[in-house]
Amino acid sequence: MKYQDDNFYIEKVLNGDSSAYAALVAKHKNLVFSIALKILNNREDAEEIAQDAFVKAYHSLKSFEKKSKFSTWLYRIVYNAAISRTRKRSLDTIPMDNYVIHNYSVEDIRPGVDEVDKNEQQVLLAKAMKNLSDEDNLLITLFYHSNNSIEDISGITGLSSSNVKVRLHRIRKKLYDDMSAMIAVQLN
Amino acid sequence: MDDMLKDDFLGDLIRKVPLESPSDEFINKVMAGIKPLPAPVIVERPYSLWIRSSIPYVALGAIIIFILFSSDIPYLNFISGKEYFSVLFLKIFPPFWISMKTVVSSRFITYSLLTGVSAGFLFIIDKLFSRRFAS
Repeated sequence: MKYQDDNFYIEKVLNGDSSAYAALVAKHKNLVFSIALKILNNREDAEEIAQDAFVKAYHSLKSFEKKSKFSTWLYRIVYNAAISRTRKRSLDTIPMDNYVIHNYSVEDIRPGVDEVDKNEQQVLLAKAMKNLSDEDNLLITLFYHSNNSIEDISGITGLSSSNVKVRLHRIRKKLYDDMSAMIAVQLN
Repeated sequence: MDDMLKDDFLGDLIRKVPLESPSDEFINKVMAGIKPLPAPVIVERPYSLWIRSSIPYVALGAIIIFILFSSDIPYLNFISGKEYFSVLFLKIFPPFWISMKTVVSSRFITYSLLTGVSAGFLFIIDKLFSRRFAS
């Protein structure tokens, strides 16, 4: 289904058409649910938290100032709610100095990955993503799946921008390493 | 460093991995949990309020007109046809002017009137501004 811009539905809701909110829920439910699930690791809890986040966002819609994207604002609500539920501290911060960011070219970082076809690459990636921690999975999903900027992710998770960058580099490297290793095993 | 993260190869692959979906009833459950936001209400100002708030301005205007037309100082000489207007005005309200002349012929009444009108004027102005600028 092709959705309109978020602001289109927000204006309708603010003008009294609450049914327009269903479109916003439909548009963002998968990512909101995925964020909650990656933090809580329990489908029922994740669904409850995602539901609460949508209801909370609805009732706070009048105070939404449109300084950030609606999606970023919504993801921050569900992220905070899920973190509160687990009573888990915010994602561990990693000092920049602990990780040396090499200037990997795409060719250096993914040896062998290009040697298998697209479908196989996708299967390998799904497996590699399962090896990531829940937090890393969340960051990579926020960055690549919903095209959030580093600053958006920083706003959602409370991590500093430099920390987000470091973690994303590390995750990216790990994904390619895992995929290469799996291909090597297959070839041998 | 940021450009490196914009890895189209990885991004394309990750976007093809489907996200987890909540149950089919999810949207209905959310919609059941919300109540309609009250539509913006435009409150119309009652006419009585318009009339009441205009009283100080009308009173002020009346006082100014009274001062201008009852004074010997030639405030309005620069306005063409002023004499004609004054004559007409006096013709329309002769009883008023006659009674005013009688009233102000007594010094006691004149001072009382001046004090009363000034006090009333100050009271109205005070009420007006304290209401307008009250936070």
